[in-house]
Order: sequence, then C-alpha cells, then structure tokens
Amino acid sequence: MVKFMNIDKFFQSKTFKTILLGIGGLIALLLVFKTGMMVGFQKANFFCRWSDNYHQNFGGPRGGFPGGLGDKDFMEANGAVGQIIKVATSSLVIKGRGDVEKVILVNDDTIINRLKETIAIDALRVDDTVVVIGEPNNDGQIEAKLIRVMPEPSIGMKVDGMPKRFLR
Amino acid sequence: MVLRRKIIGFSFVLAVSALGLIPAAKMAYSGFVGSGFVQLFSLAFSDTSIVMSYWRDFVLSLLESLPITGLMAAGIALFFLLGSLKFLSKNIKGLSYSKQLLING
Repeated sequence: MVKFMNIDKFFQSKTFKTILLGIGGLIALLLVFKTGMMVGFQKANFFCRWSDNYHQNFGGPRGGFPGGLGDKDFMEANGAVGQIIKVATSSLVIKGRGDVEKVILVNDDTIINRLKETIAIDALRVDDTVVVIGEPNNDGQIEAKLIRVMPEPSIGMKVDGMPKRFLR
Repeated sequence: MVLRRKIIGFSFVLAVSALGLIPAAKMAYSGFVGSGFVQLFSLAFSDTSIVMSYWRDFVLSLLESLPITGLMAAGIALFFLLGSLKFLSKNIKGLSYSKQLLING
C-alpha cells in the first residue's frame, strides 16, 4: 500500500512530468533529424556517387544500378563497420551492413589501430572486422581517418553486440 | 460516466502501448546492433584522442547509423504508456471514491 502511494506520488510529480516532456522532446527531435537526414541524403548524393562508380570500384554494372538498391540507399557516408574482403596498397574493400561493399582509402594520415598498437595497412588481413571513420569523396569512397581493428569473435559468439550473421 | 469512458479509453491505450513497446524496443535494439552504432560508439572509449580530433566525422557517422525508426517507435510507445499510466493513477481513485459516495448516498 505504501509502495502504491509512492508510485502514485511519482506519477503526479514534476519529475515525471519532466520525463514525459523529455521523451516528447526527443521524439520531436528525432522526427526533425529524420527529415533532415532524408533531405540531406538527396543533396549529399553519396549513394549516387557510389552507384555511379560501382563499375570502376567493384566491376559491377556500368552506369550504376537503375532504380537504386531499395533501402540500401541510406548508407553511411562518414563511417563504416564491416569485414575486410580485399586489402590493396592504399585501400581496403569492406563488406558492411546489407552486404554492401565500400572502398576505404588509406593515406599517410590514416591511423590504423589494433588493440593498443598502431599498425600499417599491410598488417590488415582479409576477414578482419574493422570500424572506420572518415570522409566521403566524389567517387563514392571513404577517405579513412581512423581504422580500428576489432577483436576477433569467439565461434558462435557476438562481436561487441554484432551478431555473426551480420559479419558473414 | 465521462470519466469512466475516459478510463476505459486510457486503459486501452495503456494495453496497446505496453504491447507495442516490446517489438519497438526489439526493433531499436536490432537497429543499434545491426547498424554498427555500438562499434562506432566504442571508438569514443578506445580511441578517445583521435575521435576528439575528428569529432565532426565521428558525430556524423554516429548520427547516420542511429536507428531512428526503432527509437521513434520505442519513444512513442513509451510516451503513450507513461501518459496513460499518469492519467489512470490520477483518476482511478477518483472513480472509486465517487462510486463510494453513490453507494453511501
């Protein structure tokens, strides 16, 4: 009974009102951001560049994909998480969400970290899971600023909350 | 009578939002996991100084991978759940008190 009274008081309190207002505000904020993202996407055109340059980067259809790739249109332009499928002298190809390949360019300023040490690009291996932050360029590639090699997952386990099916 | 109808309405909203919160929370969770948000966010702890110097790209990559639809669904369900709880906790006692008055009167 005492507990019920406390809960009742809590629901009528200013704190609860603030929480409700906070959630409402967050929803409004998310709605605005969602709209901004959609409009920003139209302008930013990263996907178009990626699609237009697909043939050059990956050997896919010339002139990109007619009609786009459905919900894969909304691909991240400033970051990537996925598994390395190819390592070259100054670039990587990674397979991320929805099995979309992304070309990651590595230059002299790019920092590549594995655990506590900084490594060179040739120390990266196919199947390594990496997290990349960088900047998109006009060819639909990401110029990497930081590449973090994630620890290897145990068999059947998740990688930092990422299910294995995502990685394969 | 009006209060009774309102209470029935809010009880319905409470039930729907409580049921809706489960898939919405699941959607938000799988969005966080599948989009790579968790991995990107972990950079803030593992590579703090580098992330600070490239904070703009880091923030943009986090925002891009934020599972907006799942978060919105969970937020809306939570909002209606808490709102209806607030109404019900305030008015159910009032309804039982007025019933008591009718019985006594």
